[in-house]
Amino acid sequence: MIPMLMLGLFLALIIWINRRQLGVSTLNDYATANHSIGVLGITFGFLATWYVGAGYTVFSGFAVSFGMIGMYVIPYGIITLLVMYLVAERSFIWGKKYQLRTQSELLGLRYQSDFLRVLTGFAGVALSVPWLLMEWYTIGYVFNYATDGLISPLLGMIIGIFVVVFYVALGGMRSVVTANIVQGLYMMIAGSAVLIYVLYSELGGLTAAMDRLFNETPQAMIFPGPGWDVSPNYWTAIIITSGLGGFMWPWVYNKLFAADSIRTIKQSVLFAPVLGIFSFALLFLLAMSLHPLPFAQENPQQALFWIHSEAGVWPLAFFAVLVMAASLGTVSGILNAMSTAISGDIAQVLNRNISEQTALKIARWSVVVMSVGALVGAYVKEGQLVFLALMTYQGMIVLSPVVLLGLYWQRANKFGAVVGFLMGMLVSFGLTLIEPAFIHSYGWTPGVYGFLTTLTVMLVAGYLRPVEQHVNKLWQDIAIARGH
Amino acid sequence: MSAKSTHSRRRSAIFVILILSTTFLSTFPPVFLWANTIEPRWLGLPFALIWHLSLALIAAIFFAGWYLADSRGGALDIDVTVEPKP
Repeated sequence: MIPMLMLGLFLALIIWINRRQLGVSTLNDYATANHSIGVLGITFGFLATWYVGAGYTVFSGFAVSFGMIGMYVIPYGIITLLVMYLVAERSFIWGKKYQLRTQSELLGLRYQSDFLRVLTGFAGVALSVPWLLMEWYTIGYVFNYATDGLISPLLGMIIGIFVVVFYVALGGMRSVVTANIVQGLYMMIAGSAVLIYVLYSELGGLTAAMDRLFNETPQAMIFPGPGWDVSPNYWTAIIITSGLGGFMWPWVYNKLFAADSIRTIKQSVLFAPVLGIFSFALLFLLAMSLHPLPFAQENPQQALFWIHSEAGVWPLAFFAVLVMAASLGTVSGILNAMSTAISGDIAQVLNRNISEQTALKIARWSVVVMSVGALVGAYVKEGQLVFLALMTYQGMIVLSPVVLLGLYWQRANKFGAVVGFLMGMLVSFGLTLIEPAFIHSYGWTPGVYGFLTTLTVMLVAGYLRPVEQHVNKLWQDIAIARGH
Repeated sequence: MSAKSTHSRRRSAIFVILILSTTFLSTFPPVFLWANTIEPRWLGLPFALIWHLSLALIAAIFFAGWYLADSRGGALDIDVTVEPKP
């Protein structure tokens, strides 16, 4: 009963704090909150979006099963933040000057290509679907577990969908970020506190938990973990793939356009690593410490819920809200980005006569349709969702040369970007599906080959063709903004 | 290219190299395998874990240094004029 009440209170709080944000009237306001978000919103916006609810079930299960390898998230987070710091200035300047709303619109401007804009907009939507389904599934699972089966997963999903659709469709980015601040603060303060409490109450503290791991399964303390034989190149590949792909998600990238200044974005890069390292290290240490326990070994994905229920009804309630906060933060960001892409990057490009009012309606209805459609997540096995979600990273990394070279290299051109992106996707997903022997023996993930393909095509195309005319003006915009 | 622009590029390049060097130490297989050991332990934590956490904290310090350098160099006070849509 207590976990159910706490979940209900948390959802009610999210709606209550958003009560003044629900009246956006233009697509620009819906997508970017009119470039008005300060450092608190951007920092927690990034953190709440980046921390997925499945991190407390599926991905922590990875650390429960294999120990140390789950730590790859920390070095990968550093690469992601470096990418964020590097793309911030140019994305912000062009974003504000040309009133851009999405990453695809930015690419459309940089390469002067509507085709690339629609292509990357479509890819962003398609690659986000498995994450959306997985997060809906997690929300249903949280309700089901926390209420001891009283609320079915399907009903839990419907409750979650109702709340998120309400504040995302009506309030857009402003509501998403407001909710992210509450979700992020909860995750950092109450969430960290409950993880520490359980580490001490159930496992005797950090040193005792690590000593037990050392005595019973020392292999879990180093790469690659017990019972797994994999090349060290795999470690390198998952960090680079996730690190470069991590900031390419439209639901993460688009928050750059919501910031009120470059100072805000760069300040958030200052706070995010410290908060992220602290909270993730806690989660990871707890998950790793559960490895020697028989129940956790047999049910790695349920292990964190189980240990919190062992600690009592209050820890379980706090933990359920923590997972719910992480899921809602991701889902709201994904829905906002996907609906903006459908309306602004696809509908408005295919039909230039669509007005801002109509575009806003399309975005709002997209949220509803996508959310109802996502109910199919209830009928897909979780294992399949995880496989699909991890596969999408192999596609996302392919976008990184298109974005990074587009922002920093004047010679990067439309031909190289379009052909490179398509060929990179083909290589990446082709290798993922075919799985030739060298993928396992050498250790590099398919996304690395896709990334190298896109990079090579773009470099060759860049040197074969002259610098495109419009690029000089864009570079001039940067110089003027900097006052050089 | 102005002196201010050159200085700004040089500053960015230095911090990018410093941050990437922490990533290199975390991921380059020979170095990573050298650090991939249990002993010496601290608070029960294996050395491999301390290695990655320490490198991440060093990277966070580099980010802070980069931000402060950008702030003092005036790189964060940028004024952008909005161009009306056609």
